[in-house]
Amino acid sequence: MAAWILIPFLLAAALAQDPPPVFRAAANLVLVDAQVIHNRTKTSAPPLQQRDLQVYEDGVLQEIKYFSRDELPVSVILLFDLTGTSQRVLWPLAAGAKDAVTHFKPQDEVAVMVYQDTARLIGDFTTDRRQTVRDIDRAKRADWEPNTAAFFNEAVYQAAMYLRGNGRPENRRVIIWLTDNLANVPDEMTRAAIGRNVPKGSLHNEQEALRALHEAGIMVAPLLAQAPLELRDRQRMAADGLWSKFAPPGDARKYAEWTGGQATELRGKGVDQRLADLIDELRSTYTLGFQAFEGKPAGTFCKLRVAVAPNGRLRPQEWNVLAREGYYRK
Amino acid sequence: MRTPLAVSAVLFASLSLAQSAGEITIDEAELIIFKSAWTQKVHSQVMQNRPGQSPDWMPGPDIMLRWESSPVVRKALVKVYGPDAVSSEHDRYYVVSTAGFVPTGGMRRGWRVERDVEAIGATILEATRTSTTLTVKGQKKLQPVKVEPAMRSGERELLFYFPKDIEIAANKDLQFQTFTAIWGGVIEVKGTFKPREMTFRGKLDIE
Repeated sequence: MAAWILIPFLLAAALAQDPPPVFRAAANLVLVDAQVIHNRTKTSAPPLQQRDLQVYEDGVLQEIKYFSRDELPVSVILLFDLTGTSQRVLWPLAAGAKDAVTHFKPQDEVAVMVYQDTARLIGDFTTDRRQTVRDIDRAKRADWEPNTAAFFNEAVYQAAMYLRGNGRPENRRVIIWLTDNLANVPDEMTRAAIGRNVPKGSLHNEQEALRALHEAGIMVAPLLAQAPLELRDRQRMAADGLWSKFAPPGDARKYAEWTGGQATELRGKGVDQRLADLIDELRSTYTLGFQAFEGKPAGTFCKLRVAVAPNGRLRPQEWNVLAREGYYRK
Repeated sequence: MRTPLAVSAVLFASLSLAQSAGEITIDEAELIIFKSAWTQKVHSQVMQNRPGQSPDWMPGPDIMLRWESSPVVRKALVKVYGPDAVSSEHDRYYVVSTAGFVPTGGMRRGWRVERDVEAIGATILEATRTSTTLTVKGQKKLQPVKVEPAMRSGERELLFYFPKDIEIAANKDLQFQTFTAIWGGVIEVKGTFKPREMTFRGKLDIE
């Protein structure tokens, strides 16, 4: 995932796990989150040291000034798609949520949102796990409007803006997104017909949603429910395919790729166990910090790449590093 | 699609002003592409698939039809939507656009929508192409040589490209008709363009 961009803080000398780390105001430190995953087994790497990873900005190798693993608390939005497929998954998730949420650390904060054509907040950020379990249960019972579009870009945009405005600024930021990954094309005809909760002219597109994620340094980690496609779903998808290049409906896998998250298929294990595993995966994320170049104007998009170091303990060809694709200069 | 006289007069007056300015304004461009002799809203008809019941036509959604190959319309499209709104194909063909319906179908045995979405899309467009005609009374019916999706205004559009195999005269109306599968049934869209009303600077502007 990535950094919450150009955080105007300098890390204190020692970052204790509890209480949360202390930051001192300082100059242009860029923080990038990275997960190191084995190409074949898709499992996380054994514990690494700073010299095992490299970070590049616009192709230029950077000196890593800060390196940590599982030390910074996380602000997480649980974002639930209210389509029929996802709702079927929400019930078992709610049933097992009590155990799953114990995988968060005490200082992590969690909020719950749901969406169809637009997003709604169910429960504000809290570190009270019992409250989060209650919020998930309320999400399960949230009013669902039939014949309503699923606008993914709008939901991601709303979640990103909420996280940016309400999450603790020093925390890492993650959207855990339960979805069947079947979005409607966000065009005006669809909005007018089945997306009326979004005012005309205000539907956000994929580019705007992605920018909101990058500006706030948010990682997207989807949990993908299998959708049993009926003929009408197939027909709609086929027709949507003609226009999706003009108005991308939003693909959860791509959002994960762009923001350094990992998409998880809901197969085999129960959804609550998948959620617990995903929270544990967040624990194995590394945070790398480097000093930003002077002189790039605000608003410039800077490409990032995190790689396995050639002389480190891992063989680069066997490992994939998931990290955000870039950030916007402030 | 008759353009009310008052609107025609306003349009003509504003276009005359544009002539003196050498360039059409954004207001004039919007008038041309949304409310003029080149653009019309027509009522469609829909026949729904209802198992066990005889097919019955019902009123469908309003559909926007636009004659796009006229120079003034091309100019207006570029003014409103930018240089990519038209292509060199607008020179080569008679171009009609529609907005307001989404053709569907296209699935064949063994195809999977997740894998074969491009092939399915091509089949949908081909079915739409073969069920569409442009007719001038007394001349042969034209079929489009291709149909392409577009989205310039935030709405799903289809562009129908007809070969310039017929002569267009001021006194010969042009009838566009398409009859294609949509979700849950079929839709028929018909509209008539009246060349005598498509005038710019007092001259016929229909190519």
